[in-house]
Amino acid sequence: MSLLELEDVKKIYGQGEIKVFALRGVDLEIEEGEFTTIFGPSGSGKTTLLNLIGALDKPTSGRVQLNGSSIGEMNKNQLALLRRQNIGFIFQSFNLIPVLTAYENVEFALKIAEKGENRKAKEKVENILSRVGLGDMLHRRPNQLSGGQNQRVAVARALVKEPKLVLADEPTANLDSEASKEVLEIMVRMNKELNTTFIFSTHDPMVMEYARRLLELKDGMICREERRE
Amino acid sequence: MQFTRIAWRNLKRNKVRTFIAILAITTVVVIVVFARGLMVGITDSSFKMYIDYMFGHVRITHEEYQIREALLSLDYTVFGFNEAGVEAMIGEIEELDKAEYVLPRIRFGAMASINDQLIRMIGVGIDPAREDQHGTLKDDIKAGRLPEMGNEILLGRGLLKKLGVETHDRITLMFSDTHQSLRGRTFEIVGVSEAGVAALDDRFFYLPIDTARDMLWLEEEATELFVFAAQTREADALKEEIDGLLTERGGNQYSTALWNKADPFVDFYYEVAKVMDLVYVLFIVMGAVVIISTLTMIVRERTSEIGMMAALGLRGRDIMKVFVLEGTFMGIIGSFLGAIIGGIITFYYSKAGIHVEDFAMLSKDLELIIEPVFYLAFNLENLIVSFALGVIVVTLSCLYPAYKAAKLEPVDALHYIEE
Amino acid sequence: MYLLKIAFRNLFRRRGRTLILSLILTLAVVFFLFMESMMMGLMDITFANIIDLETPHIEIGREEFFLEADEGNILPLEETFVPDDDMLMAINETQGVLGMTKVLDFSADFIAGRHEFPVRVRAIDPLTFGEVFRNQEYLVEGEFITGNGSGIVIGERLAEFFDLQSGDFFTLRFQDRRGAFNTMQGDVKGIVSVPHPDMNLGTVFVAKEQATKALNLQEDKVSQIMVRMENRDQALTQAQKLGVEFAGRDYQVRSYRDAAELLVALEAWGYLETYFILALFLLVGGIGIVSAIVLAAIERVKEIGMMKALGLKENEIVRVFILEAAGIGAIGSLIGCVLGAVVVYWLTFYGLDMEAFLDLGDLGVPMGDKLYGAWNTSSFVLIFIFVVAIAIIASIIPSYWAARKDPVEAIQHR
Repeated sequence: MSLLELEDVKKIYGQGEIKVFALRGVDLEIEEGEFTTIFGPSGSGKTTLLNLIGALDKPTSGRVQLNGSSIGEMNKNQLALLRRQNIGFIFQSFNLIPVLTAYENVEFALKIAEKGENRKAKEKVENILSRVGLGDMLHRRPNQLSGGQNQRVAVARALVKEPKLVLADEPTANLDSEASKEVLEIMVRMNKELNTTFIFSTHDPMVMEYARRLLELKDGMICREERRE
Repeated sequence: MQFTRIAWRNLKRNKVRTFIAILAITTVVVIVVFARGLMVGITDSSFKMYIDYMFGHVRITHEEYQIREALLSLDYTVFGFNEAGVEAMIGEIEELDKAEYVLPRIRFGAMASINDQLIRMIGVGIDPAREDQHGTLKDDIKAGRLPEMGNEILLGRGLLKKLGVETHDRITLMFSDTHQSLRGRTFEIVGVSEAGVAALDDRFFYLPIDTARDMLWLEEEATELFVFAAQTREADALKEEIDGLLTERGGNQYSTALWNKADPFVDFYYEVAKVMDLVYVLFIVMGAVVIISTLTMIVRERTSEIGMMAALGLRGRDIMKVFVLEGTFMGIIGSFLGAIIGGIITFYYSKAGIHVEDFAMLSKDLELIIEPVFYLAFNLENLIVSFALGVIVVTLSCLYPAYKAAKLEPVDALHYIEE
Repeated sequence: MYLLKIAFRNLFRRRGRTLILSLILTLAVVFFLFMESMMMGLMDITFANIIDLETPHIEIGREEFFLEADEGNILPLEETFVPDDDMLMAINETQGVLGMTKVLDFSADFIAGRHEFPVRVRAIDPLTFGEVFRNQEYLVEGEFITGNGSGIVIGERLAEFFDLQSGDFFTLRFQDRRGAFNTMQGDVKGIVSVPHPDMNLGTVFVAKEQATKALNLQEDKVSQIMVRMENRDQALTQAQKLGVEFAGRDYQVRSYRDAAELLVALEAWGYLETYFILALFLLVGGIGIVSAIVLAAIERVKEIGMMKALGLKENEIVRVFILEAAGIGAIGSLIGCVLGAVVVYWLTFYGLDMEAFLDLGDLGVPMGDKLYGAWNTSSFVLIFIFVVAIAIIASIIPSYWAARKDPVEAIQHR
């Protein structure tokens, strides 16, 4: 069984006269450990697709099955539980909690996922932060870090709970090319070391080069698929 | 005009936020309308008693009488100027500009013995013709009529019950005359009055002033003169005029007192009313705090917009105007709604009255209070003042956040990044 | 833990806003503490004066007698009684009793010169009166009732009215037990000036032996037995106990509170007013809290979305906002308690000079010129908890509103 299965997924926004067909029928299977890029111009439905995969939203029709459970049939709280255990998010605009330090942002995500005391939490958090190269900036707040550093905290936050799946929505859009490279290389390394499944969207050709599987999205449909080694 | 339109549309950008800010102002304005209605209502209804029954607007008595009022002495009466009789004096007072009419009274202590029980009461000699024309006594008559002549008396409802008598019954009362001899006289009850105040209804009876003079051995005298002006607020001016007349005509043995000296509670109430004026403003300020914090947030949120406006060439005061207008709109809408809702509430309670016993269940002890009912005063002036107060305070408090907006440097504003 | 940490730090993100919105609650707290301290101070001194001068902790008499007295009618001589030994024993054995005295109250007209004035005559037992009452300490002229001789002690106001000094002549006119008019004459022995307006004007003291003779009463007859207790709480509980004991014997046992019904009603009235105004303050404060949450939610739309993406349930997000509201409530009422403490301290130890404001004596409230507040620590605790609770309640709906925000929209919100 695949980690993720999408079957004829459609998503329509809006009601009444103005309807936006964000996805017009997407079929997709993703196995554990894959490193997939969804590529497409803005408005092609990338973010919508990621939101559905990330159990943030439900499809208008079709089936999204994650780790064996279908998200269309789940209620809000079940979705929240699914997200906290299985999915890590990385956003274009970092979205760290501004009142928490880098360390706390990461630890917070871990605490949410693993209820109860975890003796190894401190070790885990410090470990992951040093892996993304922030071992010496644990106690800085987001506004004291650069954009690239912020995004690296976000990567650490997404990975710390060792999710099956990490979703990244244009993770490098707000970064310069140097920082972009750093963040992407970290993601590739994590993919190899932890066997975490990565799916990310981008319209940046440079980012595409890192992908091993490439899906091109256009007008809400997958129009091209390509695997590379 | 342009700014007005921008400000107006800005209001609708985040409706929940705008709604809460307006709600805050509406609430405080309703509170102010209600509180002012209550304060004025208390003056109008409760303190009217002092004016109608105890004092007039200005009361003239002998100086010594005032000092020992509780004794109800008959030794110190108003006997006109140079002891020429009180009628002439009343005539002179009624000539005064502010004076509308004068009611002479004689108050004296009396007793009745019912089933070996002594019941004390206060008799009031009244001028039937004048009372019929002016006073409020006749409005309180629940049965029968005013005493007109001879041994006719009007009893308070509570007193009637205490004495165990009915209208048209005869009753013998005891009293001391000016020579301190205890005497008795039999009267016929021709009417029952009810002022709704136990202090009056349980103790007072009324008889023609001539009868009182006759039985007490008084000449053309009165213990007190109630002088009425056209309006309560003219009482001060009236007192001045009377004081002038007294000095001029050599009436130095007489003293005048304003109605609000009738009971220290009135004074106390006025002190409270003064404090309340501050409290009203305080409440509006509390409401304005919500607007200030909302506006401050709006300024922060629109920093880059402000930068853009500045880049377009708007001056600081123009930008300020946009924000002040936005706040003022909230103030106007909120105050308007507040005045309307407050108006409805005060109007309702000006008719129905607030029955405090409804709250009695809150406390067992409150049952002891005998059904106090407060009637609010409903008037347009109250609504307008409260509305204006709301708008003014809110507009003033918008100046600070608007000033902060205007002070932003265009370059910084454009490059503003949230946190 | 984390939710608490976030909520706590969120409080300081918009310090200005947090502060001014919580200041509304501060006002409510200061107002309440001030009013409550004033009320309690006023009631405390008023009751203290009543207990010391008029009706002590417990009084025992005939039901009918109290009925007429409360109505303000002539006091009925037929409702006097001779206390039996069982009764006195029972009172003496009651826990917390400090002293006991018998009095005989009756109505009379005080006559001096050309005037007369209705008064209550309190015939006392000079030996035991001081064990219960303190009127003696307020003597300003002459001497108090000491032996069984003739002569009376009057209040300062009455003396002023009649222009009397100690040694002046007086007449009391009253009806004796058979209904015949009788008089008692003699010298004014002393004048007292007590902080209780009614007592200063309308009460006259005389030795009991003199009174019983003039009234043609049996020698041991009394109208009330007055008992002084260690404290007021005991007065209330023991009055109840004695009441049960004397039930069915036609006696009524009243505590000082039963005797001062009007004052108790006034007290309740004052509290009702205070609570009503407090409710208005808190209503505005509650709207302030709602506004704080709404503004914060609008500002933090993205954060809410991100927290949802991390897998936080709506309930947990609601908790963050409610905790923040509780924080605003806590800050507001903490400042309020500190300021309130300063105000109440000042009230309690320096007092508020009421003379400039009004003469409370004229209002018929038995107290001096200076009003002292009462310090009551539990008021601080209660109002603090109450205000925080109000803040929490006010924040519930807006917090759910905030947590409902769609994560997808929230994240993409630019």
